[in-house]
Amino acid sequence: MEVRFEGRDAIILRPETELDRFVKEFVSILEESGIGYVLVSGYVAILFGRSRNSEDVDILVENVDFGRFERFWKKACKSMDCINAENPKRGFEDYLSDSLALRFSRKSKPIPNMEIKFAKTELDEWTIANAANATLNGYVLKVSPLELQIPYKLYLGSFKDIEDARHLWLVTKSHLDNQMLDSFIGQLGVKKEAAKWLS
Amino acid sequence: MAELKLPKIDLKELARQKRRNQRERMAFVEWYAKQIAEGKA
Repeated sequence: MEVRFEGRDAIILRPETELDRFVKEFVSILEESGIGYVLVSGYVAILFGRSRNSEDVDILVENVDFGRFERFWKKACKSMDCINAENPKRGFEDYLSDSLALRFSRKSKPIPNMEIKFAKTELDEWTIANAANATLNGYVLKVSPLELQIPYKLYLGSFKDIEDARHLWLVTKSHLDNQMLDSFIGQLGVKKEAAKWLS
Repeated sequence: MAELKLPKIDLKELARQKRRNQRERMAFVEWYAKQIAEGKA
């Protein structure tokens, strides 16, 4: 496996898993539908080589109107199922608009699934607007800025999250914006955890 | 050094999201476990 950086952009070369292929297929449908997105949480660590699998991939998407969402739904449901809403109207009104996640998986295969949410907060919108590129074997994926992602994982605080944070930090530390990292560590109240795990 | 334009994090909102995510994930775990128990997964 190889990880190198060109500015903020990460170039990752490694064998792909079925999870990687599923993520690429899903984000290509978002892109075809003109919907901005950013991958967040566990898959970011997996993308950067963390040796674990995941049942779900968290993804924040631009807060679009129903028309654009419906076009995305129709494209997605050619090869995928929405697990928790039976039609686009219910998915839009009962889930996304109410800050609840919608889950999409390959047909008749609920795991793994993509867990999508609308960007609702200032932090969500900033994350989409400032997404970094992580190119996996030539395919560009938008990921949460690592300077946010690492402290956020420390904030979540489970063993798995702390391992993800430490993995991401060890792989990428020489390319991080330390001023930004320190700012998010402070805002998220994880100075003690950062002193322990990011050293 | 260029001034950083970072968002202000609302910790109360973040804590609310964390609890809600945990509830949603547990609901999915329970749904999937029932699918297996009923021979549908």
